[in-house]
Amino acid sequence: MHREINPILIRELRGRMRTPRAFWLLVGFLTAVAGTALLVYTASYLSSNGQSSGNNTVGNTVFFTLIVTAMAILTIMAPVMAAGSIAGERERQTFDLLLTSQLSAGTIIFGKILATLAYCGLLLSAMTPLIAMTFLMGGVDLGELFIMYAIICASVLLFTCCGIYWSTRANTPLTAIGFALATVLGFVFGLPLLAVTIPTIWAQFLNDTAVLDAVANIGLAAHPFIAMYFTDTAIHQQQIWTHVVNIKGVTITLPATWIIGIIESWIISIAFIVAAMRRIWPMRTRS
Amino acid sequence: MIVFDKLRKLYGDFCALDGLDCTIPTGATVGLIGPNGAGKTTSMRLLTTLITPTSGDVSIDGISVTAQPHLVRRMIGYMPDTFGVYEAMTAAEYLDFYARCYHIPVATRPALINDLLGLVDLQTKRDALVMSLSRGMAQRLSLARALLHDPQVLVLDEPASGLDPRARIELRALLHELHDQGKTILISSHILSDLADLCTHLIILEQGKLVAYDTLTALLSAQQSRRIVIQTLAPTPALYALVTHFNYTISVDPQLPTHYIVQMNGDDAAQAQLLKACIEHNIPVQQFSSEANTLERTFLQVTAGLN
Repeated sequence: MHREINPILIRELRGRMRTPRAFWLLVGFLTAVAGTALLVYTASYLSSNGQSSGNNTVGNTVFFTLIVTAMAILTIMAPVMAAGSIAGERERQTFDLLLTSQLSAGTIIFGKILATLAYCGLLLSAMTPLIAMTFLMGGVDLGELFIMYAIICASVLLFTCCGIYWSTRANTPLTAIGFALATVLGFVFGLPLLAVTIPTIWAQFLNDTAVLDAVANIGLAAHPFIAMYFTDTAIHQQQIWTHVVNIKGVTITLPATWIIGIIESWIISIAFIVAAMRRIWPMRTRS
Repeated sequence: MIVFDKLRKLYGDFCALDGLDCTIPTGATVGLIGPNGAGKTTSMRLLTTLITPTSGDVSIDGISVTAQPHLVRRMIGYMPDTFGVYEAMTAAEYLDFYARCYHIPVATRPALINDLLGLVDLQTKRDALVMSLSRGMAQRLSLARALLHDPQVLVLDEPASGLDPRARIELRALLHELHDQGKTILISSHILSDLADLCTHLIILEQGKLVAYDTLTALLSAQQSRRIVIQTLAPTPALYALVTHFNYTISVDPQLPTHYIVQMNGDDAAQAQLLKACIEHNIPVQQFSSEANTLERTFLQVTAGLN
């Protein structure tokens, strides 16, 4: 049986791509990413006395800059776009019409999520030529590229789902965006802060913080920037798939940070999706 | 057949609907009237599965909105009081989007959209942006959207609100056509003259309570009193004495020496009896007319007690 594409996804993409805002966002994104990479490239080039050609370090630095800048922008854009979606339907007074249609809560939520992911995917695709240039400089391999893109995709999914969840809770897009940004930025800035401060405090009472360090590392894996940093380091140590921790003399091999991070992001994303679906299910809400 | 079964809805301590209990026959056009806050929109939102009842139930052809809301959604077309707009979308795309939402097969969609645009007289606006449509056109497009999946029941919340006279007349004609097609229509409006023209039945709500439910004819004929206007050629003091002592008279309002307004009980026979008495007393009656019973007057009489 012919299965149609999610109508919400089609409508969202159609609506989004027809406005000049989509074009200007793309231009802004590429300008920011390319501009930052150009600055870093210039600085690296000058610091290496013009020996950039064939210098692996410069290529890797520019690549890492592009990836981190893109991630930083998407960390803001994904939750903002997602947070405006359901709350926007409420504000436009079109949400009741969706709820009284034959669409399930899942179709509505997934349509909104996919629409945000599709636009973020477009932005990432648009920076492919910039990424390709770093391959010319050397120091980057395809495996690293795929891993970094996997981390970005998992994090964008997580932040989008967070935005969608707040969108189902708020009545106006502005409120939803505020809560979504507070949650995401709290996660991005708060998690490292906790990871640094808690072991330090802990160390005042217990001599051995190895377990806590291991737990903190696993907890931090969902943090995109930390996962990227760990992954970059691990790749240069030829530890792509696993990493080793030593707890009280016992060596334990764990999956690589990026793998743990992606799994964690998926789990939290699923939790956000389930919570969002429960919020909009008509016969459960607003009683 | 729509059955409201002791339907009750509380918002915290506030009772928005208090035991609505009535049965609407298939094919009826039912006006839902009442002052603001009477529970009209709450009733409609309960019927359209948008909210859950605190107690009681409502069902369409035996299918309960609480037990099988997904089936009820197939049977109803809902037109809310506001027309939600998506930017950068044409009228045809708007209908196409909702047709997808109702899982209407892609093969039948273009013809269906054409037919519906024709029905609501918007064929020329097919490629116009929804945002650019006038209020009347938008309401007609909204009605077309509600009809996409050919629902048995139409739930229309204030469809004529904000429309100019021409748009109201066009909408009314459209609703007559849908009634003739056998749709059961539940319509709320503050424009009682429109409802009097459209409806076969009326539900009157006040403060969440059902104060009257019957056919329009029965409600109008059950009106307790009528106003008679009597005008004479010359001042006739005998007329005042005559109508004052008439058995069915409630009050007499002599507006001019030649112009009286009589509030009276009784039916058409009582009215004829008064006219006969005037003639027998040689009163030079120039005009003797009964003001038609209107929905406005019925509404005022029925709802007078609770506010």
